[in-house]
Amino acid sequence: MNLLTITIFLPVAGLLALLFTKDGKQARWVGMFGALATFVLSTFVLFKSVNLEPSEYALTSDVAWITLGKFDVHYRIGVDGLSGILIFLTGLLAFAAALASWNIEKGTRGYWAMFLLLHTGIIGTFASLDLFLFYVFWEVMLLPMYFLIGVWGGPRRIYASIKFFLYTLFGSIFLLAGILVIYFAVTSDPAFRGNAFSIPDLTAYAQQARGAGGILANYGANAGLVANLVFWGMFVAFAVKVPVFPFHTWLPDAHVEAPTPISVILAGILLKLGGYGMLRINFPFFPGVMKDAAFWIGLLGVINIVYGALVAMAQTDFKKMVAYSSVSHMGFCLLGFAAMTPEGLNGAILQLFNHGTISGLLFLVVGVVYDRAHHRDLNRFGGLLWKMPVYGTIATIAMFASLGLPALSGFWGEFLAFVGSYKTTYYEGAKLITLIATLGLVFTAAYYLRAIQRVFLGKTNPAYESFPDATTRERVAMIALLVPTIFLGIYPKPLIAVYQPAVDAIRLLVG
Amino acid sequence: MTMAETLPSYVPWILFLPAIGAVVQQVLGPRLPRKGDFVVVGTMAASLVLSVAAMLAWAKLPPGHYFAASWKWFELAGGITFEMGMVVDGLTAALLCVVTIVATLVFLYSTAYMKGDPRYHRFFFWLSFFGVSMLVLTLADNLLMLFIGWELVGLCSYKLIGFWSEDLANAEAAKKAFITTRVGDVGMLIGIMILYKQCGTLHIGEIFHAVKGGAFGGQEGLLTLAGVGLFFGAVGKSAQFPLHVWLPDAMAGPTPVSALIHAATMVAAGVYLSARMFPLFTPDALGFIAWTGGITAFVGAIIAVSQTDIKKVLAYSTISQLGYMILGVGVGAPWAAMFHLCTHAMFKACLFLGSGSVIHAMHHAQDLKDMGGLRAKMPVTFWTFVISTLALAGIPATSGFMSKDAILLQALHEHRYVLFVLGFGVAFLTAFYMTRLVWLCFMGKPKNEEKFSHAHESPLVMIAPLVILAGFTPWIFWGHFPEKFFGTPAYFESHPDFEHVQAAYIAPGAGAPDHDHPWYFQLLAYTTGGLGLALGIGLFLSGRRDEKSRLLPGPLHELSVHKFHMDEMYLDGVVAAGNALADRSSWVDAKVVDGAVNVSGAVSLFIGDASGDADQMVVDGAVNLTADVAEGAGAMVATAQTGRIRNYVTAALGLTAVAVVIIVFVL
Repeated sequence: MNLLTITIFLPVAGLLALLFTKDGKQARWVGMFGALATFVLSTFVLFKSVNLEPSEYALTSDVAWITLGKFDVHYRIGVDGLSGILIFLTGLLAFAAALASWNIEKGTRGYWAMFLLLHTGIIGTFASLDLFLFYVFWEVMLLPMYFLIGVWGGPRRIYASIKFFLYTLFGSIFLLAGILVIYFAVTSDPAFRGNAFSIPDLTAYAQQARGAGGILANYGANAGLVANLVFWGMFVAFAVKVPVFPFHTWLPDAHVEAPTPISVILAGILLKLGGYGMLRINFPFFPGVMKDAAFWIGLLGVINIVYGALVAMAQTDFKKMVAYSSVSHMGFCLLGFAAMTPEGLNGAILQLFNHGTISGLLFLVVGVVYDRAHHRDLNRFGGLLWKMPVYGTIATIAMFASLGLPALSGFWGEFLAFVGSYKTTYYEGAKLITLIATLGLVFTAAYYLRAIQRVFLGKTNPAYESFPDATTRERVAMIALLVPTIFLGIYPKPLIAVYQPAVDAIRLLVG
Repeated sequence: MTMAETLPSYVPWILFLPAIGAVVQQVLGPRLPRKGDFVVVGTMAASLVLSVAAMLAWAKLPPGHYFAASWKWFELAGGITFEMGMVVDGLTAALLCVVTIVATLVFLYSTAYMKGDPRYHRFFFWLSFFGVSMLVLTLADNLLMLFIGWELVGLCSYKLIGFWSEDLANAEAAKKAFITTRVGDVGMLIGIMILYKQCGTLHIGEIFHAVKGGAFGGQEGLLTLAGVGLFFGAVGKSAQFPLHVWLPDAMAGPTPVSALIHAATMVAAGVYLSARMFPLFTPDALGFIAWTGGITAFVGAIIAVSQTDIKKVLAYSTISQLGYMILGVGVGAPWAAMFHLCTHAMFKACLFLGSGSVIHAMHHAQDLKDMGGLRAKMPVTFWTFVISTLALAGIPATSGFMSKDAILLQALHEHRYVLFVLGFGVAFLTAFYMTRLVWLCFMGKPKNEEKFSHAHESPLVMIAPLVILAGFTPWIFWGHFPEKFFGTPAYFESHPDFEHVQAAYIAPGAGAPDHDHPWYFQLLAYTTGGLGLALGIGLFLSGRRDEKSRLLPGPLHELSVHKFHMDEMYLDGVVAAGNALADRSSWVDAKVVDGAVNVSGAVSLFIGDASGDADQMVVDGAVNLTADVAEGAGAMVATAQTGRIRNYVTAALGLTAVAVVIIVFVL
């Protein structure tokens, strides 16, 4: 059986096993084992995704699923370097998040069921090479997340979960509409010979028909207009996930209410699906539109970076600050995408991966202090470093990684996105956009250093004198994410080499 | 011509040894005797030996030759590679020796100075990590690696300034240092981006080569911008006006840190960067650099005159001296700037360690109001302090005299007369405020008998570094230093106007004609320091003046005491504006952006559920109501089945269907 299929559905197997558990304690072990197995399998998947040619996929599987005449949906999966590293990231964060879920007491079996189902959705989305399958997994992911926030979240969890659900639904409607429009167009297009849902077939066709309409050439005179509508519609679908300004306001609410491990997955992986979708579907399907859209995407990128950092600066809730820092940092992905230079794309993809580990780590950090203090008000801490040296040190490293300090992994994404974005000739105005984006560096340093000072430095708040340092379980979870942060900060080559063929492919298809 | 030679295999170990030391001390330190400080001191001493070996090996090469090696770090699509590389030429060799000498001595000194500190172990980790980062910066042959080292020394500086962050004031100082220098780093990054775009590489030699080959083809303004951008990094790191404000506050760190990082090495990195990248600077950029340096030298010296904290006097003095160095680059004498960097590193480190010795003896009192008369109790500290003061004051026969005059002579020859006069004005002030400092600290009568009675000379590990550093002040060590070391740095042959550069700027004595010294220059050079010294002694000898005495005429005194109002300007202006902007953005986010979301939520709810109650339309309302009822999974499912969700979904699907129909059948 295909390794990738096993990786996708292993969490579902865990879910079935949960049916036979008698109590929360057993459920916890099943969940933990499921997460660990997913991590191990995702590592194997990563190793299978190296040394591929551009546009070549490993671990492919193609089984007809729904066939109604031309409506021919396949279970079509495969990985390249890009999806390989993101699936690995999913496994890694599943492991760390599972450790952080250890203390969930309420409805434990339900929690772990949702937790595992969520990962099937995520990995399935990354692995899909069929548009319809992609959409199905995309929606599969949505529901467990809704419940995880809505049931196990904080005081305003209902509001946050409904907002998250509706917002993502609002986005995915555009995705569905786009898929349908593409389906109707290519199935009536005599020049198209592939499968109307196959991502590789459609991508190849986009190369063949490089007019204004791209794969929607069949629309004739209106092709350009329709292509623009579909491009931007799909962009909105993915933009909600990233999240791109002004579609980001669900994120702070969802993060603040979500339990720690869910925040880890939300920031670490769910946001990456947006960027992944753009790289896999949005841009390669419409290279002609992308050329004109690049300026606007770059502009949105710089708004995300600077505006996100400014809003983060004003937060007093630790978790909300970290949430807005995600908005800011995901802007670098847009900046890099828009550039379409090798440096820019590399910066964007590195940022996808490294923001995954770093923001995951940051949410674990917030979780540790929240577990002890039961609040997240930055102004009410102080001096924790002296009482919790290990925790304080890890937290400080995480924040410096996030503000882009060299020798920690966050640096490379930002640096390459900057130089790649400045040098691009892909669209006009890139220089100015990049120059404005550099302002974000100062604001980012400001809010992180302020947070470090408020939480960790100064006199210890007497009420918190007795706080124990991070427990072994907390340490293992944090160190699991700290190791790639430091290693890839010093030597990013192993990661870069894995997905480089994918960058080649994107540049070939779009650039 | 300059030529690259194979890098000796031990050179990378200059970097690796302290790095290994840092890791070993961090991991095993708590279990080792003395918290493993000897590992840190030992590896840095080994690094010193290797640095000297590298310097000697380099010195044996024919003139203009240098060592270089690079390693591919990663490769991107399209064959774009990023490399790490090291170069050892005169600039590097000199800075390597300076860094490792001062670092080794400061590490040694710290074993006594920091004795008994509860986080002694941490302190040594950060010291050694600083050493590693500084060496990365020093050895780098490309801007990427240099930038990495550049940021890492900033991190170490932050951690060490805030080493005693139980006191929030120290944490504030650390934060201020990091953010202020990061403003400069943004400029540096912009410079790097421009150079990378135009030249397609970050290797310094290749950049020069590309520029010579016309990478900027006629875009003189862009090249100026690139140069000024890079220089902005130096403005932040080397505490140049107007970003100098962080350095005095950085004195919050332990004194050995001030000596090593905030006097001798890290703050000089900006000068090194400017000297290294010198061939890039257009005449416009050089003018900007020269004026920045000149103004900084003046502002620093004026403020130093009225400071009452022993370390603050030295901090403003450092700002002023860094201004000299930058002025040297600006007037086209990078070699003189590097020369002053090296001599200054030695005597300023000695002064800071001397002040540390005093502070140590006075049980952490560092205000001049508590001092006086310490000469008798601390003879070694006193004499080394005086010797270094003479060098800083530019008294003839000292190292400082030679390097400072090299800069000022160049200013004269470049016809920068205003800066030339300003430079001598600063030299006079320097001699004056240093005399004031020595007097108030060591001479006269003790002002705080209680503290004085406990004062004592520091232990050997603290005074030995003082003696060694003071030993570098006589001119004799530095006789042929500049032309030997800074004659023809690596890659300079790629300068667009290399012959001109070599003839006019670099290496007097290495083939190029020596500048003549006009009589008025000689007169000024030989007397200015002495006059400042004499005035200082004259004013303080009577004993009637103390640290609060008014020494400058009217408005200058006000500016000096209030530090040119720079801190207030930043706090009330820049920081306040930044915070207001952040608050405003946050308000917009909550009210406008998210408000629009809630309104559109309400609208679609209305479409989906026309019969719904009006007061449930807004998400907030709907949600709050549900929240009262809902608790746990069951209620959640119920919500999904009966409540709002279905209405939204209906609305959304309906709209999509309409959209698809329009697109498919109408367009």
